Amino acid sequence: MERRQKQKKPIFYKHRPDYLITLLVVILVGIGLILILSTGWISILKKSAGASEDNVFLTQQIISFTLGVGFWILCSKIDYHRYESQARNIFLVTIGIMLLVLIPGIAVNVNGATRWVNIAGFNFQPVEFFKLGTIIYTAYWLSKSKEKLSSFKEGLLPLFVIIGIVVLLTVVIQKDMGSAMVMVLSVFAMYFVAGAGWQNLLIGLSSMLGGVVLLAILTPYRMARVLTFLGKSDDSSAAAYHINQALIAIGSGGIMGRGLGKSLQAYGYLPEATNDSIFAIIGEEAGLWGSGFIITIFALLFWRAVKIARSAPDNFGKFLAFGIAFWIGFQAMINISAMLGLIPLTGIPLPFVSYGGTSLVALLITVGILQNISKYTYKEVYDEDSGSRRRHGRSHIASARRHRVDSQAQ
Amino acid sequence: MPEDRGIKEISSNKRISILVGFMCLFGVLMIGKLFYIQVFQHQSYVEKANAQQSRKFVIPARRGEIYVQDGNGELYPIALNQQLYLMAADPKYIENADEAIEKLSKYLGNVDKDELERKLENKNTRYVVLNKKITDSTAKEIKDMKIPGIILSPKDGRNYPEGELFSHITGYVNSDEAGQYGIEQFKNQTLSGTDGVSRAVTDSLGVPITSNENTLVKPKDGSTLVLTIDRNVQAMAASAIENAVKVNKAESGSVIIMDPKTGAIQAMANYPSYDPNNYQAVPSGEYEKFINSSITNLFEPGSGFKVITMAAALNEGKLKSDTSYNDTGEAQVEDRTIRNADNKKFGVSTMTDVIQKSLNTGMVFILKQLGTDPNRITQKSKDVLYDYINKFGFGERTGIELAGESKGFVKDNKSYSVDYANMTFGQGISSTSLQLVNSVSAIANGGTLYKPYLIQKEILPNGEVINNKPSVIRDNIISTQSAAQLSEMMKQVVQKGSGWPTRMPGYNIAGKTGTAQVPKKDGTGYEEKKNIGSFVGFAPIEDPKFVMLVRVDYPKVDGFAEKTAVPTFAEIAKQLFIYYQIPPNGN
Repeated sequence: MERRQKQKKPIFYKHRPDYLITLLVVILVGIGLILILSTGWISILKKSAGASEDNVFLTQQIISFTLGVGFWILCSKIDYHRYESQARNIFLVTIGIMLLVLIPGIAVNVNGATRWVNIAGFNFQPVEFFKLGTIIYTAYWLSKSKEKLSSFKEGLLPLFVIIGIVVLLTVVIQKDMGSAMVMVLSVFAMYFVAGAGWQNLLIGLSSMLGGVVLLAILTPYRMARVLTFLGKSDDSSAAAYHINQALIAIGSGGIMGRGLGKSLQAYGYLPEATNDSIFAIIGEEAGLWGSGFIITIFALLFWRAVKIARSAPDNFGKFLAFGIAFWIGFQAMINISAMLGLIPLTGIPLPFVSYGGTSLVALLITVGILQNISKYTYKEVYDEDSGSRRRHGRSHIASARRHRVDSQAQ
Repeated sequence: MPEDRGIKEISSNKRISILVGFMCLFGVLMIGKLFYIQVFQHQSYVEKANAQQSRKFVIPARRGEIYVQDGNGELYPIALNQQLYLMAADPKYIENADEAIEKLSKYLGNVDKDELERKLENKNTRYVVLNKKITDSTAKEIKDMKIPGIILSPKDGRNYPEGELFSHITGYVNSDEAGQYGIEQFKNQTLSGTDGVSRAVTDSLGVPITSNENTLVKPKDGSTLVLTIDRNVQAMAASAIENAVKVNKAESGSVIIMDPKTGAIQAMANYPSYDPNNYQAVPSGEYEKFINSSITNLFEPGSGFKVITMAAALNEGKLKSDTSYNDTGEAQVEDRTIRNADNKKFGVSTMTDVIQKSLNTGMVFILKQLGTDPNRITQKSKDVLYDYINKFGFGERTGIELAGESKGFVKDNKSYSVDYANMTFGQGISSTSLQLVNSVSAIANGGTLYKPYLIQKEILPNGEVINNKPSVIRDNIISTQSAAQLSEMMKQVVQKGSGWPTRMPGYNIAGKTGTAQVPKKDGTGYEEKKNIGSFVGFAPIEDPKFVMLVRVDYPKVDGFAEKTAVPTFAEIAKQLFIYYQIPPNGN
């Protein structure tokens, strides 16, 4: 009782970060590495990539992971409040990075879309950093304008500007519908959480829907994906083939799976086996146990991230943490759902697990930021259902335990 | 701390909870779908996966070869395997069609070069077959020319080194690897063996992947067959019958030579024949060339059949060789009058005369003797004759290892007496050449009907040899005494009768001519100017080494068998005495 009264004044205390998140992320990255390590089928991918080394994929992914872990630790040490003041600059820098794909010398065109840049032999995907920049900026804008979200000028207009920039850079320039979907919905979810009025939400939602419909109509291959999903397309389309092969992989895995490294669908049947389709390979090799395990890990990760958001000490932290939680959770969800044939194919990787260096590095930076926020959280105190609001009973999640130990020692 | 702020905070977390709730709902949907796919639809997806991932590779078995031998037991191949190549062109890569055709011209055979050039210039067709039978050495020459767009793909081929000589015995193997006609068809399974199957999982391009799910069933190669045919005897027979057909301006002819003591076929030659190496060259209207007429074509054996009727009577003890009757030149059966050939009458004649002079009236006399009343044809007559006809193997397949054997037709014992009267001298009954020669073989060996056979041994792929032993269809058909009496009568055919051209000092030859009429196809009597001349016989009588049938179909020269078939028999027999080193007995 005395301690609580003592802690009434300070808004937050620094404490240990959420290490469960560390564990969950390591598990996910580990599964991705094990899949690449254990595969007999990787040789065929190696051949198609023209690589000479046997373990070129593994090596690259380990290098990315090592690099990512460095950033992860670094970011978990940087006080996230610093991003608040630099949010606009961070956003502008990531927009700049996104625009690099327009520079002919360094842009890399793959399958008619330019989503990669190559600077001094270093290949990376700008959109992964842009996602983070956008979420940081959105969190900054929402925390700054929280009281005025119902107005047009400070509520709806900035929302449309952000979404407009996102759509321009991802959909129009990079033809990346999947990333756009994740980003727009993350921004919108953050807007909703920040307390947007129902009227604005409705306007925003309906204009987004209209935009999606317009895009689908204007671009035939997106239309094909949607039609495939609705079962109104013939089975010969590439999208139908992809989903069908994913279902065959998952379905043939059964409960127990074929066994680690024994995927057959990866031998050229299932497109993007190590990348967007990796969940289907897990389903095939590890069965219901494996795919269920992956979903469970993502659910846990989402839960921990949401928990941080709920108990963040300030609005910027709350919106940022929630934006991160939603981004990762939602991206995982639409990737897996597409593999299961629940939603149309969008072509985005499974966070942490899919092969791909930029994505991994960007995600690990994000986890670092999230863990930094987790150092400042309060223990959840509002039990809304019971109606008893112990408003002065707030305490740190981890430090509470430490204090208790301390007091016992005394 | 303003109250207002706290409410907003609560509000944000509440909104978080709403979104989390949506996500949870979707999460449940995902788990549900996952469960549905991986548990309930698992089997159906496994089938779909297998259908696309698993591929069957056929490992062809090696077809067995066929050999014949000579008197010294030396083997000669008559059907071998050969690596052939199929030459095709992919017009897309042909740079200069004209030049390519010019270079390849000697490998193309008779083709319309202008049309081929047009085909090769059509870049939309991707495959034009140029030649299906390119040999190994030719393939090398073509490869060395390095003409772009020319494809050589290996295929198994069959080679028949003796060409036409054994075509009716071997048959051929068609482009689907299936034996057609002859032993190739009859023993197709034995020769072809069983293809191996490898079932492997493959990548999407069809390249096999190492997996413990892969299975392999090794191919079982076919057996090699060694025939009873003597290459030299076959050559003698083939050349003699070809000559006979040409000299007599006949349509066709055949010779069968077999060992009366075993049933082993030593030669079986028909003319005209065909080259199994080039069976496609036989025009579509002449497919009867593929048919082995010795076993497939039915004919009315005519007078040659009289020995069977006589055998029945002798064996039944109804008469002896010196039993006589009065030949008036005709015999009345019911409302029909049966006459001798050329309407001759010989007065009092013995049974030996009946065979020697080939008297139809004598045959009717014998039929009457077989029954209960020697003055007329009774049911018993028919029963006894029918029984002997069956015992001698007429109306049933001999079971020789050749495809397409006919069984012939014998009127049963419920038929009219006039039909039976006609049957006594070989009319109104149909048989194959092989049945006739085989029945005479039973007379030659003293009463045992052997199953004629062609395969002496089968050599399994592992080297194991299965020897084929002679097999008896029926023995004691007639007693040795009856057989000896009949042989003596048949000897007189050669000594004094129509078989005179075969007469050879020092050799006792038994035989019987037959000049069979050819029934009209519409069933209204017999063709006016067509006949089948045949001579069936064996030698030497004391210890028969061979029984032979010579048959000449539709000769255009006048006269009976003694002008057509008999000289050919004589020609072959002479050679056989020398070839088999049968010493003359000095008579």
